[in-house]
Amino acid sequence: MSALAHWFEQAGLHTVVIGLIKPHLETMRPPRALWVPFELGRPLGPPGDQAFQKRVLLAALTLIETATKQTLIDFEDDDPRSTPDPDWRAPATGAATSVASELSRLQPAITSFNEAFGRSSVGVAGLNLAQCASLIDETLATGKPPASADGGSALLQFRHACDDLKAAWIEAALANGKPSSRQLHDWFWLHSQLGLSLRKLREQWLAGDDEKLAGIGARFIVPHRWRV
Amino acid sequence: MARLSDSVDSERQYLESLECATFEQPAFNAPRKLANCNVALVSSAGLMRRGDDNVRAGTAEYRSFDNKIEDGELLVNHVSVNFDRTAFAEDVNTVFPRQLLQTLASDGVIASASDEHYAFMGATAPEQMQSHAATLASHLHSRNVDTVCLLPV
Repeated sequence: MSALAHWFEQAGLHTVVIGLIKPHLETMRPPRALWVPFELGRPLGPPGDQAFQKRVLLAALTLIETATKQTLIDFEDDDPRSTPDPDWRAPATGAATSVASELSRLQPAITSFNEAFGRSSVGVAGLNLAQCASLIDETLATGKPPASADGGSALLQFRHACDDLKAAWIEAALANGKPSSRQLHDWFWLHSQLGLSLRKLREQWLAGDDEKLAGIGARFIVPHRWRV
Repeated sequence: MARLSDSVDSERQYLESLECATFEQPAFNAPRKLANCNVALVSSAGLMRRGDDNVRAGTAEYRSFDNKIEDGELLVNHVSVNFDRTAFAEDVNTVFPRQLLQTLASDGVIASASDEHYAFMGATAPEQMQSHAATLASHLHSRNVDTVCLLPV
């Protein structure tokens, strides 16, 4: 994004970057930048807090009017949603023995979230959630993703099915409260059947002979924090 | 997080190892009254419209989104698993603040919010994006957009 800022500025546009990784901003020196101390993935900070988000956006845009040379400033306030919510309870999944059975147990919470928020962020795989869950269970059973129904890449379909299921599990976890991202991800990767299964699959692929699967396992299934 | 000190070692080492381009003689345009600015958003979240083709990993192309697109039509299709997606699930404004920008326009803080906003696939080599950035810059000029807020994830 900082490189884009330079090129846009050269083209006569005014630019400002809201950046999350300060060393990158310091090295690439975009024309104007606001560094925010938030988790990767949320440049505006806390979800559902428009007043806070507006302060972030205004702090950045104001640099268009006030900066007279290359400028990097810090946004001082931390994301209030990074604090764990003591009242949040993880969704009940019982002793699910497969991703499909865990989906069945989470479906009421997913539906509850979709109704409360009027939307869903599931949809990149082009499959329904039951199909995604079956695909993951089959991958776990055989050690490799099944062929794609449309003749496309099996690995790509696997990745997209993972993304949709993770999105659905997130929605289930958000149905009853406002956990911090860390709370939610700790539940997902350390306690949910889906998260535990994906971590196990990653280990299998890394230990196996298939370089392609090992490459996917190394980088595209489990985030850094939950890889061990 | 995003303070590197809060990251686990492997993540911190990865982020610190990423090569960052430097620019010898960077352009800097003179300050401009915010109240006169027509502002567009550019995200690196690999956003796609529900039902469209997936965003290919490594593509340097960008996608355009009407300012009035419903939140439920926007999906994150980024290749990386290393950024939080819970905030987007709860509130699209945390990543792609179209509604906030519209509020600033309604309040007269900016002149207007662009009719379109844009998204690239982050984690793409910057040099591959240069020609697409030039295309987008021309497109923005043609739509009388003069200011861009870039939002990496």
